[in-house]
Parts: sequence; C-alpha cells; structure tokens
Amino acid sequence: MRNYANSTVEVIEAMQNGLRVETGIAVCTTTIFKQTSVPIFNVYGVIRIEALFGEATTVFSADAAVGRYTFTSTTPVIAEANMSVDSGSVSGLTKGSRLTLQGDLVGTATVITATAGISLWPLGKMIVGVNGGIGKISLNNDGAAATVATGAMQFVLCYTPLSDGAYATKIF
Amino acid sequence: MKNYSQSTQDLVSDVRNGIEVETTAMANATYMAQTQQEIFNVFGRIKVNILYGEAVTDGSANATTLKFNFTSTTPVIAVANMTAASVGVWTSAVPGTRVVCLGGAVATAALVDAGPGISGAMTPMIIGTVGGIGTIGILTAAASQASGTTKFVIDYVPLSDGAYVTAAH
Repeated sequence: MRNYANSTVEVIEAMQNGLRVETGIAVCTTTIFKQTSVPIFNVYGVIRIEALFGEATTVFSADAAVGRYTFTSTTPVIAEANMSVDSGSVSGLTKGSRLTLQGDLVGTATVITATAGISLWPLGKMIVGVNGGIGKISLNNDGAAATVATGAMQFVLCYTPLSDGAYATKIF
Repeated sequence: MKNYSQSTQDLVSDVRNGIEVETTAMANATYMAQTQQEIFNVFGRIKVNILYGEAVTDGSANATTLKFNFTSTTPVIAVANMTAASVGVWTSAVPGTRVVCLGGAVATAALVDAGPGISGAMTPMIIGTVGGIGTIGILTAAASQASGTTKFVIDYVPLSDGAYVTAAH
C-alpha cells in the first residue's frame, strides 16, 4: 500500500471526483424544507456536476416533506428550473442519510438513501450554468404540503469547470 | 509507447481507481464461518470504486455465499447491507477467484466469479458519514468454509476532509 501525503490524497480525490465544495449545516427549524427554494451553491460559468447531495447531520422530524435540486441564473436571467424532480418523503431521515441528485436526465428523481451511511454514487453527470454567467443551485421544497420541524443537513457539490474560470462556492 | 516510472504508473492507478488498501490473507475457516466479520475501517465519508475478495489458497467444497455490509459506531448505524448475498457460491474457490461488490443500487447482489481471474467491475458507492467512524464487513451464509485463505481489496477516494480507510486484518 502506498503511503501518500494528505495533500497528494486530496489531489487524487480532486482528479477523480472533481473539486469538492461543502456548505455549512442548514437547520430545518429555520432554513431548509420550509416549502420554499433555498440557494445552496453559487455557480460562475459552466460546470459539470460529478456529485451533488445533502447529508443529514441531525435526525429529521416526522414530516412528509420532499426535495429537489434546481438551477437559477441571474446573468443571463433564467428562471428557476428543475435539475431533478421531487424525492420521496424525508420524514424521519436519520443522521448519515443522503438526498442525492442522480443526474443525467433533468427529470430524474432525487434519491434518498435507503440506509444511513450507504448510497450509490450518482450514475449521471449534469452540466449547469452559462458561459460567463452567474447562477445558483437551490434545494426546492415547494412540492410538499408539509414543512420539516427539526433536523439539519449539509450539502456537498463535486464539480469540474467546463468554461474558462468557472467555479462554484457555497452560499452558507 | 511512453515509458513511465513505476511511481508514475502507481499514481495513474490511484488517480483512476482510487487508493488501494488490502487485508492480509484471511483464513476462511475463521472469517467465512457465517458470522459477521469486519474487514476495513472507514473514517469519514469515502467513495468506493472497487471492493472484492480474492482467493489466495484453495477454499473448501462448501456452498458459501457472501455479502458486504457497513456498520457505523459514530454515528451509530446498525449493520446494513451494501450488497445482497452473492450470486454464485464460494465453493472450492481456486486462487484468483473473486467475490465482487458490484455497487450501484444499494443491495445489488455481490458476484462470485465463474472462474478465476475474470470478474465484473463495480459502480461506485458512497460509504460512511462526515466525521464518522465505521467498518465495512462481510457476512457469509448457507455453509461455512473449512479451509483456504482470502484477501480483501478496496480502492477508494476520500469524500470528506481527511477521510481514509485501514485494513482491519
């Protein structure tokens, strides 16, 4: 077994998975799963998404909310559009469970991990953004009649630039 | 044809396949006896690109099936299947025969090679949690192995800061 420096391991990760950006932890009491759209990542230029998921960091309350990922652009103006369709219910989501963009087709459902700590790597990739544009990826929860009272989630985006100077940043 | 140094070839392998960790050759009579056995420690969240066991010495003529699973102590997550029980059985497995985690959808059946040296590859999986501590294990069923040894191999890349894997044996 090779014994790499941590910086080399990080390069291996980036070359294989793309650049990883993580948000802070968003709580359900005030921020996410409130039947609204919540921006989570800024996107500058065009990027290829290798993976996009949220991981529950605190167990969710028993509320039958759903979620999907969307993209909105301010430059040029592009109204919020679905990257995926709604997931199943996030009711009682346990710590370590993930809400994963499957990618590939725009209308593919967002997938919830069957078991905390185990999930499939997204099978498809997606291209989002506009050359020279400024946009954002959001978690939209307006598709359910319920809001989530308690719980928390952190979001992870792995991407590679597709246009010169393209990059992504966390919003919170 | 380019003439790369061995270290460059190693790095190409690690960039493409991930960082490889191997167990020792584990005695089948001990570790394929229809009880839960942990084979790799997982710290943090990782992307698993390859996960398999490979016969090192001849196994016994017992119709053993095998599945891979994951357990976490931090946070507490009870043992859960990464695969279903293998299609094909680990009977009289000759050196080079592999039992492979095929990945993709959780609980897809593991696959035992029809013969040594050729096996399916894996669709990656995400295992572990940010800041978590867990183990990847195996559970055999149907019959216990009486002899032989098997080595397990994982190729992974970190998916949270500082994540890594060590062999449990």
